[in-house]
Amino acid sequence: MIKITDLEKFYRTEEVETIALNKLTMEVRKGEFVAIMGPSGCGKSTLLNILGMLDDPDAGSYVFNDIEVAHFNERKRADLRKHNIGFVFQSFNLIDELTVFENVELPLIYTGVAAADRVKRVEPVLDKMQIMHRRNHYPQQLSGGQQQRVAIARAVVNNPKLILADEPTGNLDSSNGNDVMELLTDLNEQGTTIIMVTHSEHDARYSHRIIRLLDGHTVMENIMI
Amino acid sequence: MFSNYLKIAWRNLKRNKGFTITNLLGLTIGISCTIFIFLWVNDELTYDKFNTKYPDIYQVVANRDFKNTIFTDKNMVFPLAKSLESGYPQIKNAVMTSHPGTQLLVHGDTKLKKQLASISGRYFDMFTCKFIKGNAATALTEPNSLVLTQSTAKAFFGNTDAVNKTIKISNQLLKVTAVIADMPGNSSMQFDCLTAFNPTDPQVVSAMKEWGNSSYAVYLETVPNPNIAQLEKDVNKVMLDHNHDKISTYFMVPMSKWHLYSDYKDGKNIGGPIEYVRLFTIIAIIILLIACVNFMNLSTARSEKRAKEVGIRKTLGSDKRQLVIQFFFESMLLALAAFVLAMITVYALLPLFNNLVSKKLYLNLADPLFWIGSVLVILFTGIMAGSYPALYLSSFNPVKVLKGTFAAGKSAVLPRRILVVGQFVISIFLIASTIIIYQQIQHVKNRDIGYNINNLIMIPSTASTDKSYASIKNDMLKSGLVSEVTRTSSPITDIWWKSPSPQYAGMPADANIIFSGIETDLDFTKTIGIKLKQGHDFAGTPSDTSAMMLNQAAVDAMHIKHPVGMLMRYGPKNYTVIGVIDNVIITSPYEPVDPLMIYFGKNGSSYIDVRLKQGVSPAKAIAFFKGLYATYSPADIFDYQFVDQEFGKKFVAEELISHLTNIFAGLAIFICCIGLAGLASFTIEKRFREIGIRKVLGATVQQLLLMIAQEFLRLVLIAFVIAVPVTWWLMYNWLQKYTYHVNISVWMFGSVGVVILLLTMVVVSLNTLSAALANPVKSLRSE
Repeated sequence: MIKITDLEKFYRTEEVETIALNKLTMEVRKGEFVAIMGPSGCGKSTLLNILGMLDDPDAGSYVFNDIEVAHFNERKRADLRKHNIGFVFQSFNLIDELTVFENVELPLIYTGVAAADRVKRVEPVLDKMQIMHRRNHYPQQLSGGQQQRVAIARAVVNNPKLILADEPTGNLDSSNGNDVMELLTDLNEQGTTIIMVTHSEHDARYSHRIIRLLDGHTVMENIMI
Repeated sequence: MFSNYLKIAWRNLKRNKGFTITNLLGLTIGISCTIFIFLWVNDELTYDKFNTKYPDIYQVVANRDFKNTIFTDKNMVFPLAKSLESGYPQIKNAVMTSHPGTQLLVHGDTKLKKQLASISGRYFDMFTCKFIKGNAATALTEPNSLVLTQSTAKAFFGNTDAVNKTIKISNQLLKVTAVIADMPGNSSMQFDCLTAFNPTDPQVVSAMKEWGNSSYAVYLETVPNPNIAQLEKDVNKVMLDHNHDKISTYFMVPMSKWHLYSDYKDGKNIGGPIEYVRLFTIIAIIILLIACVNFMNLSTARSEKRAKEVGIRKTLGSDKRQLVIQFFFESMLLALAAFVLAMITVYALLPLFNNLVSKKLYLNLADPLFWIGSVLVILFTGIMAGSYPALYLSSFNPVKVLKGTFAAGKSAVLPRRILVVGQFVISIFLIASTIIIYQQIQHVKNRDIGYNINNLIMIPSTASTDKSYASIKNDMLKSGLVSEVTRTSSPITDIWWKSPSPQYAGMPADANIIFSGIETDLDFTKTIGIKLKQGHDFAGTPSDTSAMMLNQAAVDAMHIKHPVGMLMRYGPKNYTVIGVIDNVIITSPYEPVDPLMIYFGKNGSSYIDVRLKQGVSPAKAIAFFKGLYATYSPADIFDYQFVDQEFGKKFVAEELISHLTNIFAGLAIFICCIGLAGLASFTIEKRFREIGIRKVLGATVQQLLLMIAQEFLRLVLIAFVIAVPVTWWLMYNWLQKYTYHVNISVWMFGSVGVVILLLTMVVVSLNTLSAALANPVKSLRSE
């Protein structure tokens, strides 16, 4: 599903050039659950942003579903992204002015789903995430665990092929964190590919494979049994 | 999609009440001003346009060259229209009218003074009049017919039919044949009633042969797109063939220019009300722009709050275009809301505004043009206000925003500062020019008029009062209310007579002095209160009829050392100069005093001028004069004017401009201030923690206030440096219009600068104070 080759990304300031990704090569197959680990500044988040087409690489190739996307412009990336990729963030990133239902509905609006169909698709997802009773609440009225469940609902409502999770349990206590990891595992078992950046060895154990990054390139891959 | 935009926009506006109220207030004021100015400008621009033949109507006007000084004159000779009526293929119709004059109309016990104009044959074919009773074809075919406007008909006959009733005007009985709708306020043709020149009237018959005396207006209706040069050639030829007058050149003025381009100087058009149309259009746009700038500044200033939303939406697949549309949606929504509020404001304040500009403006909701204009205003406001924020906010990089490494609002600081400077430049310009306009008016008002305008009353003369003038004067003086009485051929506040200089010994061959003239009776200088500089006033002896007084300006223009006793030849007669009076402002207080000659006139007059005794109540005096009038001139209606009020009318145009600029400048500054307040409170929100830390470290409240204010004071200083030369240049040019004008002082700019600085300090401090006074524990704990 994903194949990146010799991917490079630099950050430049006037005096220093920092290498975030250094000729990184990796592959993720359809249906995999991959965890990316590494110390702060090793390039995890940069990699996730490029995989999510929020950022573009400076050099190298990124093939997504057999399409080379490294040179895509913002418009094309947005189009590919909204149909294929769901995001889960550490800080949830819900829109404060929208209710739970409206937040989850948002990706469907951008992919042009009719209003009646949107209701039909949002409600089962809310049910599944056990937040149906909160559908008309605003994010600030929810607990952290509930907010992350809304964020996951939003990430999956469009049936994406890939979910990118950036430390999804980072802001949660261990009980809520485990719930979230269970949810992700369920999704993976139903066929969604998941790539997750995490600091937590505990969370990483839910994955099939851990890719460890250091200074912008892969240092080790552990296959989980 | 749109319902989602609407929802987000609505909730955003509801949540950020301060932001919404500030912008709504600014935009409502801006749009209200725009609507008011639009109504006024539209009224000016549609002057005379109700005439169906608007594009084909011209007035014949002459430039009369009095040896280097050219007067532009709309008065034509009586036979001109008739001569042009046939034989010229380009001319479809030629019409002549007298100038509307005040006449006493009598029907039974009802006596009213109304404006009557005489018109020639096919007037109604050229000018559009709406007939309510009677019709255009037959209205004035019979001699002694009279057409009334609706309000005049109502004043005489109430709701009964006016047609076939009779009205007496100067001892002639006229029959009402038609009633027409009142002339619109923005018509050049204004009158209360019309009558036709009677072709069998001996006076008219003799006037038809009079090619020298110009006192009628002549209008032509032409074929579409006529050859104007040829037409003017034709008219000039007709005039030259008949009166051999070499000083006059005739030209055609299209109806579209009658009102808006009405000012002439040295024979050339120098504009007219069109200048104010332009000025106020610019002011409307400026005020709207200032309000839009508030929206831009406040939107980008609080962009940190919106940044996260942009990031999430982009992550979820929104592209930039969709976000731009979304943000425009918000500004449009605000513009629409402001428009609705502005309409309510305009409805409420329209009577006041009408009073101010002396017009009868109204909101014509049935006019598609109004709605097109409204949509344009909303679009303009929404797009102007939303453009920068939309492009700025939608360009956020979602990675940086969501990571929190992005300091939103930072890159917008410079553009925001530029916009704030722009607002202050406009504010300083408006304040300074308002002061200059005010100073100019005061400067002219304080100018020495040369006579005492207070307690001086002018009473229009009639044939009867002229006959009994001696008795009237006697009765007045005996009453104890009056100290002096004289009479004059024109009001003391206007000149009705201008002519080239009389001949005098030592007159240079190329002398090009133009004299104003006035005829007076005895006691002129004493009654009006004019200082005699040399010689004496008319003495009441037979030699008065060959005597003349000059003013100082005339003596100066003639370069005469000993004027008293010298001979002046005017027309067929010789006059001896008996006195020289001080310069007196009769016409424009903005211009130097023109040379004036004063003759003795014993037989007729236009006004009786009365000086009240000190301390006499004007009401009591007026009642007494009314009684006298009833005795000596019972057929006429008593009327009077106070000279000080008449003189005050010379400032009407300038005072209107002064009032309007006052109001608009005030509003512009108010909008600037609320914008500034909004910006200041955002700055404080951002620096709340910093303020707390500084306080812990020992900063005083004053130091904190100064720290925040500094940011804005610097901008004010930059704005001041830009605004001063611009204002000076623009206002210097405006003042050049007036020969008698004030000089722009450096101190004025200095005080404007101080006022703006203080205003900024106050506005910023009021918003900063709560943060500066807050307990630092509060701001530091929140992290």
